[in-house]
Amino acid sequence: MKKIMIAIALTVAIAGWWRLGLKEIAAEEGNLSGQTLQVLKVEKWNGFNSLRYGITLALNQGVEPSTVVLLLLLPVVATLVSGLHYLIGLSGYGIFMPTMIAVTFLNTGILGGLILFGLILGISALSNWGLKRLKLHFWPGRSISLMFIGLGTFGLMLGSQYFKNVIDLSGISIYSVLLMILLAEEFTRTQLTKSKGEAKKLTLGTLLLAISGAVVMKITWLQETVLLNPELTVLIVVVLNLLIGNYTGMRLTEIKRFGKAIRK
Amino acid sequence: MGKRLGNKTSLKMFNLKKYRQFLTKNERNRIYLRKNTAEGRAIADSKYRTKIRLQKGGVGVPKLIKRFKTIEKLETFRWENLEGNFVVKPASGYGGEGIIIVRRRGKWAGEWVKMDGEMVTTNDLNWHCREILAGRYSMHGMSDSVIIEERVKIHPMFLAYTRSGTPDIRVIVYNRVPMMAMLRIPTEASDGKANLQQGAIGLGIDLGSGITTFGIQGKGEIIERIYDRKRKKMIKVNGIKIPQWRQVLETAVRVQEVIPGLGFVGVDIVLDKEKGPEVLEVNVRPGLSIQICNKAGLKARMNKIEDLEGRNLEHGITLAKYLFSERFFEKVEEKEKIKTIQPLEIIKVKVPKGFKPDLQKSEVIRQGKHRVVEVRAKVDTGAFRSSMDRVLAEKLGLLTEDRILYSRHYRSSLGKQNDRPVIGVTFWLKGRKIMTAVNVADRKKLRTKFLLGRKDLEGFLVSAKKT
Repeated sequence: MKKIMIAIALTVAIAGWWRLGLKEIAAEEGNLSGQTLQVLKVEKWNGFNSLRYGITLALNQGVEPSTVVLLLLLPVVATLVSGLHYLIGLSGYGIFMPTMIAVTFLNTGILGGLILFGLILGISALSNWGLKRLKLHFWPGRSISLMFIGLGTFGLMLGSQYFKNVIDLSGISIYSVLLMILLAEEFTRTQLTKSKGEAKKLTLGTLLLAISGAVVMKITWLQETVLLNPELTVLIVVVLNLLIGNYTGMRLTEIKRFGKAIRK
Repeated sequence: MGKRLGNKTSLKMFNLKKYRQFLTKNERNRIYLRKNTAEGRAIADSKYRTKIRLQKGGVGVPKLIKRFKTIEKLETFRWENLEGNFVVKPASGYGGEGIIIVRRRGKWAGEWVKMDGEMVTTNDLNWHCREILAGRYSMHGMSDSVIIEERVKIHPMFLAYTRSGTPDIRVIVYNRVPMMAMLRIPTEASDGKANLQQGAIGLGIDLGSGITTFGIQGKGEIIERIYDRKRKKMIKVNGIKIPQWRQVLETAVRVQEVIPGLGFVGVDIVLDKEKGPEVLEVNVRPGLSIQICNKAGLKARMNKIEDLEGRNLEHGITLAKYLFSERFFEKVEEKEKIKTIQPLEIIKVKVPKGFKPDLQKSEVIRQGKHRVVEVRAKVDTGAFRSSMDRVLAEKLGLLTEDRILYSRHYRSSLGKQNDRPVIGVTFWLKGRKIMTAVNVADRKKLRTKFLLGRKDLEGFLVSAKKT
């Protein structure tokens, strides 16, 4: 319990320090595309730079540079998540959930995302508790719970206007809300099928993985490098995943776990 | 075994060598894929298919009363025909969720009494079945089917350790050899479910004797005592004897024989008061905490039999018994001093049940319920495994097909090479029972027919002084 509290406090602290709005990202990526476009244009096709050539073409046709960067960074973040899982032992709900939430954090900002998630989780827990008494069918119950979540998010967006100087949540996209709902659903499900402790651990793990993913995605140098060297990025991602995928040794957390099983 | 100087100084946490024995999660996931075929995994993941397969194969399972796939079938089901004593559960449920256990009929028609004394009505049961069908308890919310089966009557021996829920025994079987076992006891925290993740208690079980060894609660908290409700006090976690132990192991191995394509599997077995061991569930991705409550590594044990396979039921269990048995002196050791032995000792070798040894009657003596023969043994700390004369082994009935664990290639100090059978032997040295694997050699021309290797001398001190 103590550890969980500390972890939450830490995440909130990091999030506060690293407060981000949607507009900020857009601005920065606008900057970045200007530089990179120039570098990209010099390229001539020679077989090994097909991807780079393709990206130049796409950008010329009006594809958003930030979309391309995100598409290229997605597997990088997924690799980071799987590395943290198989080597360190940090677990979340699968690999896609933390990766998606990481992208969500780019939209909402970390603190904003955490507030949104807390709100959705609270509402869904409350409505579950209430709906249990009504003994409805399973799906109608979920629909009502979804309605409450929708209303709550709306309220949050409305309310955040008054705290605009602290955090601005008016720019939250519907996809962020949907992903946070998925995470909250996963939490309730795990609580039912496994245990409260497990659900807390996994949800916290997901958030931690997502935050580290978001932090990595935010590094401008990485964004540039990935956009300029898409072939290298693909190669490194494949090699890293092959290495991680063949690793059968211990995870860092298992040292503590199995330490108890060693006879003295 | 001698302690090297380095061991003393190096930190316990970072002595990575000691961690090699454990099966890690990363490796478990790989073995699960490599050892279990898609077909086998599909059967194991469905409780219904598992049950049907096992029932056909003659393995004990709680009897199936009814199974529904659709709401129409549910509506035509007549609950009032049931006598009570049944369990309603989802076919692809997970972690013991969504299970209602009914003990008997209630006072009025349409009322049922659950295990904890609470009432449910037929309406409640119908509603619960609808929820299961809608996928409330299945893994990904997919529609599921309902299973109604007979309730297992808990073996009275287990009643002392639990208030609600049924304790079960998890046996991990690999290549038809039992690898490790634990007793899982539901607690208040686990809400009556025998699932360590939810906070149940797990007690490691010695494969040779069926006696508990160490304990954990939840996924990692080591416990030393549990509450005994009959004696109304805390008792040690070690020393609880599981009844019908051999049958439990047999049932576990039989699962692998009946369901093909399962090379690495955790079998959950309950002991019914009347019907003995029954398989509740087969788990293709068994948890790894079993290593903590046994304080032993699965990996090391799996390596030991990597190129062997249980030839048959008998052989698989014999292998487990003699290769993975605990030395029970450990708990005695704290009270007693380490025992000193002479280079030449008399040991008492157990004669297998029902075998008539080819010896004079006077040589066979009784020790408790066992028949034993006294044999002169020489201590040889230079040898790892103990060794026994072929003729003597034959005479004692130890060299039968069933008792040969495997054959090993040995090289003697004179450079001769040959294949020697390794057999399971139980003997007593200075009153300590030792169950071990012994290789069979030609010691015809030697005076001592038994050589004690250092593997079986743990906890003994060899004194060269003549007495």
